[in-house]
Amino acid sequence: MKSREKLTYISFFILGGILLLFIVLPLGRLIFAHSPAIILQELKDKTVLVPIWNSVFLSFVTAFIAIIFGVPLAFLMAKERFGKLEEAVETIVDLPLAVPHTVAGIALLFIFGRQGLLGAFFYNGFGFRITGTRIAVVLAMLFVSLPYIVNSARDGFKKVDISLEKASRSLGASLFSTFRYIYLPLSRDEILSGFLLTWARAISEFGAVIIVAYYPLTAPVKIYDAFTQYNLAVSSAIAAILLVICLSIFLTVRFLVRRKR
Amino acid sequence: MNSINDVLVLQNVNAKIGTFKIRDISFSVYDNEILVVLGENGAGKTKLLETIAGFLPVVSGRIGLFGDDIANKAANERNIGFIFQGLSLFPHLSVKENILYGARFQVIPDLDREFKKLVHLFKLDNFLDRFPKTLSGGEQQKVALARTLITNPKIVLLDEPTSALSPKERERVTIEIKNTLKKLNKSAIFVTHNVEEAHLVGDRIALMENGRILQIGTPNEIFYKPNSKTVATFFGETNIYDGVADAQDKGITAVKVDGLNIFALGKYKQGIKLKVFIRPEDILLKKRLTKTSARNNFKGVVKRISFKGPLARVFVDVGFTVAALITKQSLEELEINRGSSVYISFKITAVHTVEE
Repeated sequence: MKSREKLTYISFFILGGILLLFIVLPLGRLIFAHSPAIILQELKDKTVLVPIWNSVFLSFVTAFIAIIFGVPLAFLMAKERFGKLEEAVETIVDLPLAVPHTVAGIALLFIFGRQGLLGAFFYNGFGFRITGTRIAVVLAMLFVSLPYIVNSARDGFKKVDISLEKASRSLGASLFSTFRYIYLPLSRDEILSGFLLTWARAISEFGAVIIVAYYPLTAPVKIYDAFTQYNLAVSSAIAAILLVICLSIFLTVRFLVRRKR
Repeated sequence: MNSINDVLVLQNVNAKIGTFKIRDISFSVYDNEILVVLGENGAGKTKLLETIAGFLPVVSGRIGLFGDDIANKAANERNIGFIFQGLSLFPHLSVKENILYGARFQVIPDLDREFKKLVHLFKLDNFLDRFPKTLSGGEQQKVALARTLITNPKIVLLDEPTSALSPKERERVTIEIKNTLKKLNKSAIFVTHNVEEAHLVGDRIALMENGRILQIGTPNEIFYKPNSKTVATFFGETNIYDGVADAQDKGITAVKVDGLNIFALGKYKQGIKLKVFIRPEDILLKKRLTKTSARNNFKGVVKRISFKGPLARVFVDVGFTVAALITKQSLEELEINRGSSVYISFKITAVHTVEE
């Protein structure tokens, strides 16, 4: 009996271990595939550096915009202000998680493309084309990453005891002051981790971005671009750099979440 | 309707919270008075406070605070202090920041002096940089009071403020709260489900059940002159009889109960139906008939004795059944058993009558 138990554990460990290796091995191999010297060399190349910068910076801008629009929405959801539409709103917020990213890109094209609802307005009115610009990159990133900040901030607001709001109000604070001085600071960790998750999601976005803005290249698009031109060296070097950046963000989130517990 | 001494006036206030209703509540809180709202869990006490404070909307009626109708004002514009059941100190702010929170949103004259005065009053000098979760229940209580009082509220609402404390701490803190409110000349509504606490702090008590105020009066009035059976039995079982007013002489009426006369204060017309209440602790039990100033004396037989803690409830059949509450010790000294012959007596003032 005892040895049967052991056998079960051993076989489970082997199966699980294979899975873990399947994750760690390619990523580890990628990071260490290039010597730091080669990576530095690649970074000096503008055609490599600019896409990486585009990815890091534009995803950061995306996360920032996501906070500005997402946190108020999260607050309304946490306070159940949508009444009967509560569930509908939750579903809408989660939709981008369910939509394939290339599909999201095409859908965005219908709105922001040269002949799209808004795109036509800007193009015909001001001669300004949205697609193929940094704005388009941000729009694509925003669409796929918004759910993270909204859901995370909402959970944070929900955890704040309602009596603290009442106490704040009874002491003379308006609703906005209560939001500012009670809800925001008490949900700081959730909002911060929501911001980082949004950022990480945005930085890695490929499908939606490539459809609305092939150029200016972001790192994932550049990786694909180089790969299709049989330049695996450049492709993998950028990939390694992007991986390190994403891992840093991811590990920061993990650290924040663990500290809270 | 408004007297100069009224701080808070509720007129026919109705509110609805889900399926629960605050029904047609009218009362006043006077200057420097502590009104206790007493009731079981679920009676609507907290909801009443939250309606007054502005956390719940008023459906109809008027809430006057020093003459202003505040029923439709936002909670932060009412200047009503609120002490919450769980105290609700802000966990991310230090004691000092907690106390000074209200000062961010309103001008408090002489803030520095006010702050020092309250810190001194509550002996919080050594806690100012600490955070709420590092404080004991009693200390948190003081911070909550200081935080509310520094905004100089027009009235303070306290929602079972001692419920988080140990029973030993509770009485002390209750008295402290009362003394503080009195010292600062604050009117207050103090909600509790604890009868002793109600008597300890209340200048008056309002008894609440199912969203309504049943009776409002001084502790003695509520206790000894209940206006209904529900109020009478709220403080434990009491003797209640149906009687009919008989002869009346010099303000004392003989009330016929099961053919026997109980003498009570009051001028009632002969033949009027009355409810008669007598608190069991007001009934004197004796083995022998002795001379007494009490007008009501009966002879009877002990039917049953029940015990509750250190007290014994003795049921005596004198023609109707009278419950008397005595200590176990007295019971032993009296050597009373089931079937013993005893005399009971009670004063005229112990008999409370209400017309039906």
